[in-house]
Amino acid sequence: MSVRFTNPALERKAKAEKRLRIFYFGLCFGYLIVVGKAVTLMSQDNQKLEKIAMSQYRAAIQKFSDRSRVLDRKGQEFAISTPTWSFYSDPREIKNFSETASLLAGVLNIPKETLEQKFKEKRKFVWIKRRVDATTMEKINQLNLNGIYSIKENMRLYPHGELAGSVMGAVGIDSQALGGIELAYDSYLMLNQEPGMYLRDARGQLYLAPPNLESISPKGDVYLTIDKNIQFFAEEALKRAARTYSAKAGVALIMDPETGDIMAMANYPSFNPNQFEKADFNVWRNRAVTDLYEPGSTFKVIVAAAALDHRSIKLDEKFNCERGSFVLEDGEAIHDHDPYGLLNISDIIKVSSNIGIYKVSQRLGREKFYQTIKDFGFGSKTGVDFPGEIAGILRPVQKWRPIEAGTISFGQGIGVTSLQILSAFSAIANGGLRVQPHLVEKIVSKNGETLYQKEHRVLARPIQEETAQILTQILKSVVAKGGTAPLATIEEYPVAGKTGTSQKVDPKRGGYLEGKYIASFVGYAPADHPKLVALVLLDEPQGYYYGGIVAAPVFKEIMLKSLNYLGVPPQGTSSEVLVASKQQSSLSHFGFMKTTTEIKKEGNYFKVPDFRGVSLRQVLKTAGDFPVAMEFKGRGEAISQSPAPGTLVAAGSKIYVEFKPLY
Amino acid sequence: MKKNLFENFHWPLLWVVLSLAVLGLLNLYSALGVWGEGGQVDLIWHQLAWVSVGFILLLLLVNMDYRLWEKLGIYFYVGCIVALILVLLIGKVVSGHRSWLTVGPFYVQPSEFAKLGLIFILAKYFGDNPLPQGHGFRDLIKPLLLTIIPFVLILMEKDLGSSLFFPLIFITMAFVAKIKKGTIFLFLALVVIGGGLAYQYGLKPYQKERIRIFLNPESDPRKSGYHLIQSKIAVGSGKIFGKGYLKGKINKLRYLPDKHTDFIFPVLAEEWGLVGSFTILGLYTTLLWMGMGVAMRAREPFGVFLASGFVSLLFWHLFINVCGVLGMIPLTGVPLPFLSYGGSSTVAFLIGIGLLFNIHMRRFMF
Repeated sequence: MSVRFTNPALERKAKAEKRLRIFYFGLCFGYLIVVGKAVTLMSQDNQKLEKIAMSQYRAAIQKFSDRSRVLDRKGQEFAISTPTWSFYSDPREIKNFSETASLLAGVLNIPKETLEQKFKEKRKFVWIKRRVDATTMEKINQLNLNGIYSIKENMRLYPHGELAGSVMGAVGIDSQALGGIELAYDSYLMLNQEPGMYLRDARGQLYLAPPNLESISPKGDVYLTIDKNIQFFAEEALKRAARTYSAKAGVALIMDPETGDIMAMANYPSFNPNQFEKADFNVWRNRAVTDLYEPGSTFKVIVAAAALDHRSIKLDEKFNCERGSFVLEDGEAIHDHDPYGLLNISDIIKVSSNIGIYKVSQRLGREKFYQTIKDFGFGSKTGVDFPGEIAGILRPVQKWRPIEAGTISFGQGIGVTSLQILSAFSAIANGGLRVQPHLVEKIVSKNGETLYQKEHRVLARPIQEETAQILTQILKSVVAKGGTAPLATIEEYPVAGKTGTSQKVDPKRGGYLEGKYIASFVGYAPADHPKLVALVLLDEPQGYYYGGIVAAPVFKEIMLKSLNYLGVPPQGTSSEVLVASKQQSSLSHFGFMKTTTEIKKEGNYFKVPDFRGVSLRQVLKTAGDFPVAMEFKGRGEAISQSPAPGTLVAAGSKIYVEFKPLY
Repeated sequence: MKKNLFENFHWPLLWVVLSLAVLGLLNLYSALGVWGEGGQVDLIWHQLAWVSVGFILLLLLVNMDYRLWEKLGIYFYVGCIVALILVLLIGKVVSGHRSWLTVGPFYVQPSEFAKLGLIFILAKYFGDNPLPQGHGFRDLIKPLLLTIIPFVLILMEKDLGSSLFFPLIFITMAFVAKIKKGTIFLFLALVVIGGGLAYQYGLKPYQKERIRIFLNPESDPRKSGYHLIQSKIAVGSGKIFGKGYLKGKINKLRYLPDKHTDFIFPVLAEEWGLVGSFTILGLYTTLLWMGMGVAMRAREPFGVFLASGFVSLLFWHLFINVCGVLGMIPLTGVPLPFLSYGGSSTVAFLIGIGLLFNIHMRRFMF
């Protein structure tokens, strides 16, 4: 030790070491100050600082996020997203408000004052004009103005405009779904979860935050059950009729009774989702599910269905229709349109006798009636995948006044939606099974994965299959001569249906509105093997107001076009044999060649196949195994037959087929 | 002998330096990119090249006895002075400073090397002139002149931040060499008076502005105080664990100015939070501590002064940069060692580290 202090060099070194230590401590001290400051900033102040940070980089901008497509059942695009450009401003960066405003005003067609007003708002972000076209964007960019920026925004575009507009609903300027399918399937359609999450950099430029992948639920294109063409047929025919009769509104619906696929859902007045801002809110509604009406005579079919299914009446049983006027116990009178005497159930429906159906309902009894009404789906939502559906009004049977079972029998004192009536009739068309109506077929993700597939669901069996068959025969008579809707007759396809004409209820004072009617027709075709069920409803038609006059022809037009379009082979009405002309045989493109010629056994009956377009040998081969008598005329290709395809015949019946040489 | 030398190799120091270099490159990558268009991500390759050059020089220096610098130091110093004069004559102006010389495709900043040059020359001077009773003012005139030459030249480049290192290095090294108490006070008085005069007459308006902003940054948040506020927001909003690598919003949305050079620390603090900042600051602490250890164990005075001079250079860089971005002292625009983008400073620091290795390895050689 002592050596150390006697050696001056070592002593110097020891002193130097001491100073180095002092230096080092000073260094550490300075260092601690730095660290301390950093800790303070990071722990103590961070609430405040985070807030400041957020407020500067988080731009609270509602911006249109990308949405996936909506397509019809065949893949036709009904709603797509297209990129557009929107301009915004950070007024702080504008040196001369007046100059910038006048330059922009020239290009954008916005008054200069409006723009100046926008600049004067003390905000960091002001929209100048949203969704400009490419040329305008180019022009603005060329102006090269300070504090004016553009951002890419997606715009919802509905290429078919008004077609199925009320089904689509709309999407607001800030990407919020405003109704319809857009709203119902918003979670699948909206590609960006947080529309407001935009980040703004120091220069005011906006960036979409890198997406938080965890929060994104599966997205995909929505395929509707709607068919563009059928929708078009329905909208065109409905619009024409509504204009002819100056109707206030109208609905036309087409559905496949077996699957519940809604193939057309037309509303009048129509709504163009591309210009939803301009549309009156009244026009937005999809009346088929949101509007309530008294079904009127169409509801008589429900009574008949209940009475027949519960075997409360016999088919050939006659009811006294009192020559058109019948006074009830409480003194109120029921009237028929025309005076009738004794009618069986079939004729009651055919001529739509209020008195007759009243008596049937009395026989049926209110409990059974109520049960059937409920089984047909009235008083509850159909559960269709569309927002805003209402359940209608059906008072519980315990609260019915004595007369109520009677009035409900001809469709008064009950509130229904068009879709409920359509669904009830589709149950009859579908052999008594009521299935879940759908608007969406499936949802498919970008990489082809099916995210959602509609489910075929039987909701109820309100009536037995037999009853449904009997009802079909009854409903066929409605469109026949002497029925209420001969105008719904289609030569090529047998039709089963029912008219409805109801006076509108005054929503404020109760009672009925004088001269305000709802005319409707609902039916299906081909009657014996229904492919489609359709409903047409016109609200407040002027002049004529009977369903059979106003709605039935629309039904006919839509049904005929749709069946043709779908390639359903014409069959001739039950009464007359179709004589195939050359032209008709050219219809074989619609699938005649493909139809099976096998005779199918259904219960004790045999279903007559469609032989047309088939060779004699083929017909013989098919028919040989069954106990039916075949009668042929001519040779070559079958051009006509009797009975019509799809008819059920008993064993031993005769089937007549006519052939014609091909060359 | 070589084998013996490498037995004394300071491996922990190597790991610390490597860690800093790697983390620095990672952080720089984030700082160079922005969301949206722009950014200078390509510069990461430049920096990688400079780091590689620096490590090659480091390895060369490890193999070259540092005592050679007792003789070479003077040439290095003179070379730097010549380069500084050249800068004034034919230098490139980048962001307001005429500090760069173009050498082929490279931009070289001689002021960064001049710092090393001063350390060499002062280490030689103090090593050769031991004064156990302490240096008085008169004894310090010669080293002071050596300090003032590059100081003035760099001031003429309008690079106040870099010039400040020269008096700081001088004072630190003189302190280690022992100064008389009176002389310390004399220097302090000179600094205060000189500083006051400089502020009044010598500083450019923007430099005065910086000092005013430092005193009250919120006075003008839109313009001059903006950078400092953004820096504080970035550090503060990083919290404990940070926002995540490449996710710092203040960084990525360009709220931070010069974020790849002067404001590199807020980038780190925002994305890695307190944990990341402590890791880096901890590595620096270790580096400084190891550097001091090398200085204390150096075999002879030249080594002591060389090592402590370099440690002081590192320390003042750290201190001035971090204190600056945290708003504790006025902003001067000083790179943060191993984190900031910049070829010359990176190479200069790695040369210094090479010297530390060398001094350490040769501590037992008599």
